[in-house]
Amino acid sequence: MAKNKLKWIFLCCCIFLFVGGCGKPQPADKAESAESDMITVENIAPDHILNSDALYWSYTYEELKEKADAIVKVKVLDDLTLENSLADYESENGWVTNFCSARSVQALEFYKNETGISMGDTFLVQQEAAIYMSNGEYFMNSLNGETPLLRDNTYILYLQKADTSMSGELVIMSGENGLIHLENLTEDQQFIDITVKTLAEFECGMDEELKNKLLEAETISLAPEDIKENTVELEIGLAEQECDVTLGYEKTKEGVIAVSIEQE
Amino acid sequence: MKSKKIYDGNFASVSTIQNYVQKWNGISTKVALTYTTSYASSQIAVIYMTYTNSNPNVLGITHYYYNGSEVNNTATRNGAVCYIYKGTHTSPNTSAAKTVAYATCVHEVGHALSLSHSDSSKDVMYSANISVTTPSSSDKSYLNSKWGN
Repeated sequence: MAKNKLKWIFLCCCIFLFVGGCGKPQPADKAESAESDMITVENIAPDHILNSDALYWSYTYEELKEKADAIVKVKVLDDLTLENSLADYESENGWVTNFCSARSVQALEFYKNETGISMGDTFLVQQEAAIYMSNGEYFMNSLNGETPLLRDNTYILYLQKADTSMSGELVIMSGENGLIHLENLTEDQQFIDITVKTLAEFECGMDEELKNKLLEAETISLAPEDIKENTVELEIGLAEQECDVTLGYEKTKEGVIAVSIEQE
Repeated sequence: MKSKKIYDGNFASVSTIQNYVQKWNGISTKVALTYTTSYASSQIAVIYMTYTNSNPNVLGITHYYYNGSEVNNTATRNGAVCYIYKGTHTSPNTSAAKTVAYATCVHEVGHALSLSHSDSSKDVMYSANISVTTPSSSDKSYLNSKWGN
């Protein structure tokens, strides 16, 4: 009787282990499945890469500094995917009314910090670029054609806490107005003044006289050609290495400085 | 296309907004914006959101459509939807807040009419316009270059 009982217990244990093991994905299976579900920009048809026009509130350098809850140099840790994107749809007709992504970044250095996040921490930031589905097809969209943050690249971001944030995370202020791509400093020429003033104040260890000249300039614009006469060599710290930059500058009229940027 | 129609989503004052949308009328004989409550996919829809955008710095967005499917801003299209968001940068219901909303409205409808951003702060189509509510002579010339006189 006791032997039979033991047999039954043994048999039940075997059945339990067998059933429990069946269909349970192994870590490798899991990774493979996540990989196949990962929709990135590379998976989007060229005519489905959209660019919606937008009007942003535009900030001066001083306003950005004042309004930002954090000014931080970050390394981007992920790619834009369907999984880290968010979209709102109108219930009546399925139109996409709003979209963004929550991107993972690591804080390398803070220049202003009222967030409680510490240097080295990984956190999420909201950018107005997303991959979403509409009428059964995948689209990538960004406001004013803004390039989604690139994995492993370094940015200085002006970030704001927002009650309205769709992702619940800190938002990058006013698109490219609040973003400096350190691997490609002339990517956004419209806000070159923000780029130059940010580098002068926070990044390069520029001599005080030039730094003040740049910070006090009313207008900083990109010169049509490289400026050879007045130049300064700068070293910009990227996530993985340093990068040499030649900044040319000349006063064109009162309060206006033209600059050229050569980046190796 | 001889005329485009306006669909109102959620305006507090439809007639006021109509007035601003129709600032683009009378410039080209091919642009005559009128108001309707029924929307077809080959029209311009102007929708005033009663809430702030997810990013409070976004004042307005225009999406483009061709036969109901969303397309890029450089692609051939026959419809557009302009969203005007309630900003948080000025106190609500003040004249400053209204000016921002009206300037955004005229700006976004300009996009719907195929106009891109301008570099001059005097233009409605200036990329950071929050105060110009009437198309400048340069905006008008730009519209004429797209639609004819």
